[in-house]
Amino acid sequence: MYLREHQAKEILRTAGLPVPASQVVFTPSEAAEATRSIGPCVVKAQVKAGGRGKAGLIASAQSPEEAAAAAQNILGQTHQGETVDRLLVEARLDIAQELYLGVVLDTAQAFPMALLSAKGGVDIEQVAAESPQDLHQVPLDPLQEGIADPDLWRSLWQKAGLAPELLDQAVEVTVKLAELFFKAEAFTLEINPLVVTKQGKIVAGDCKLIVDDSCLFRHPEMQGFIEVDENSLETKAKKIGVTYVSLEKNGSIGVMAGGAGICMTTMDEVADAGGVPAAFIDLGGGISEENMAKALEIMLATPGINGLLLNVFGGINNCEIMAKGVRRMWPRLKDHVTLVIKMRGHSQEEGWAILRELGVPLVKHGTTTEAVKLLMQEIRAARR
Amino acid sequence: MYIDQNSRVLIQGITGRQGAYHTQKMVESGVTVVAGVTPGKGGQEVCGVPVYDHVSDALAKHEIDVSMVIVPPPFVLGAATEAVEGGILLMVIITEHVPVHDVMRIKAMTSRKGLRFIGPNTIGIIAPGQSKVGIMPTFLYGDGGKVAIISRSGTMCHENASNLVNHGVGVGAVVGIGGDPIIGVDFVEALEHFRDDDTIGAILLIGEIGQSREEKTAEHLLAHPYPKPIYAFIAGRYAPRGKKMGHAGAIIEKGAGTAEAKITRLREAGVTVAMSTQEVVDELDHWQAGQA
Repeated sequence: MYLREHQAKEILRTAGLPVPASQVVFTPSEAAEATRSIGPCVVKAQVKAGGRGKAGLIASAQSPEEAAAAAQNILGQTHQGETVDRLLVEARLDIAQELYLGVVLDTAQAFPMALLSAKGGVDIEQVAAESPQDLHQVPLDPLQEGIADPDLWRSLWQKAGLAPELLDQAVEVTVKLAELFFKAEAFTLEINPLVVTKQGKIVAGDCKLIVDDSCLFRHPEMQGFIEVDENSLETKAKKIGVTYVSLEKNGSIGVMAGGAGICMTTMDEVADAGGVPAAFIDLGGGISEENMAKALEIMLATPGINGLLLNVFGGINNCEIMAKGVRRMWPRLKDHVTLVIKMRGHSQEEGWAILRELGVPLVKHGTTTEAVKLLMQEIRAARR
Repeated sequence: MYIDQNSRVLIQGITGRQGAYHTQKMVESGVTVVAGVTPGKGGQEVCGVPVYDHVSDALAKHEIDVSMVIVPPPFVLGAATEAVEGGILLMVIITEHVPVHDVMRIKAMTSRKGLRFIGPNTIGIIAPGQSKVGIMPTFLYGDGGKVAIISRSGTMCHENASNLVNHGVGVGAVVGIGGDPIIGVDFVEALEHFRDDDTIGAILLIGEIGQSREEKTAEHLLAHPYPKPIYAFIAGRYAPRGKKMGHAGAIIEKGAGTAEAKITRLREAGVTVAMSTQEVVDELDHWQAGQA
């Protein structure tokens, strides 16, 4: 889950990290109102992506009028597919220096890597590429040993060339950030820029926090950040324990399979055969007859769909149960799509018998390639 | 292979719905399941297998070579910690949606004690005709052969193993390494495991988009030439950038982890990359014909 800046900063604040005074607003008048109490400020779009500055989604404002104008301008803009619907009005910092501080999970090596630099405020990948000597890294122990050791961070910040009078503050911030990375179960926790103000204070200018979706059950502090669009097919699918992934807007073929790998493979083979995949549903394991029927119904709700390949195994799932789910939805399926089913595994004979009765074209022993070929043939035949 | 007909298996989470079901399937297919663990359920039996409260209790009564962990996600770290403390050499973690930081900790604990784990989010491992520690339908995998499959995806193991078996190409070992961001045994470790195994003649790697496991494997193969032919298949060539594909690890970010990059690197390392499930069968069929 990618947190919005204001959500990430709320997490920082709770962890005792220094963040500027701020307020989330949804309208220009709210922005003006917030500015009255905050004073000179920055108005920032709250979207789940970086690159806001370059996209003109961050503006400076001296007065409530300026803040309202900035809000008027930014609200409603689109950034990387997301419409700006809220802003953060934040006290403007008198910037003397911009630092970088982050911890990212290196999944290949299975440990977190802490990174810091006295040259922040720019894309850190650019620093890594252009002046790697300015980027200082240290791997953190997965079992958290030594991560709160002030000497480790002091020497690293010294190496980075930070002024001696700032070291104590920088070390305190770094220890808290490293501990928060583990506490929040983050993939990425990054403060860029970490601002040194003209008053000599270190404050988080921005914050990027990406947390692991699978740990949210034990993070009550983040429950309020989970956003769901109740009407989306993705949400409807999630409610019955399956995963819906939309692919091409102009697609016409749906893929349903058990497992992400086989969903992707089937999608690839459909595209290779000249079809345009519209969406896939990963059925996962342990699907019931009722949920099988519901999953089919969700797939049928995909706009533009006229072909469907069900490519399933009776492993954790059961062929007979899945076939019964198909039978339940059969009246609607046969009127709306050309259906081909490839199915084998537990209770395959029982499953095949049901599908044979319905008259669904069936692939029993062949490969996914053969099933896709059959689907394309059937779609062409249906057009005639 | 990591397991054979003599492997003695512990099931952690044996009294759960999934745990009990797959214990029954394993027992039916002749796997030596010696004990199970579920805290608070000690003294019960599942399919004739004695249940203990803790791994240490099971270890006091039985010799255990491998543990299958099939507990709900919040309890995986605790279960794994018990297995590690008991010194069980190999753990197979079936559970999906395990918090990634927990897997990171399991990885640190096992490597410090010289232990190994496979998964999480895997169908497990099978030596067809001999043993399995996993949840795959045994009959799709045949009863043995010379091909070893190493896969990030579970159902792609079903697909490819059954396609091969249906075409008369026998499968001798299948290792589901799992689809999560952090895993235990990876492609490189599994490949090295089969390097000197005379029962295995060819390898099939099933990769997918996201992360850099296949690229690292290619790098490893260039540095350490492999004595057996390696075939590969990469899922997700058509995946839109930045879109989560179901597996937590299968996402193309900032252009890294694309199928094109993986296919190119593997081919540079001498791996034969098939572009469809049919091509996988055809290539291995061809390889087998050359063996006779």
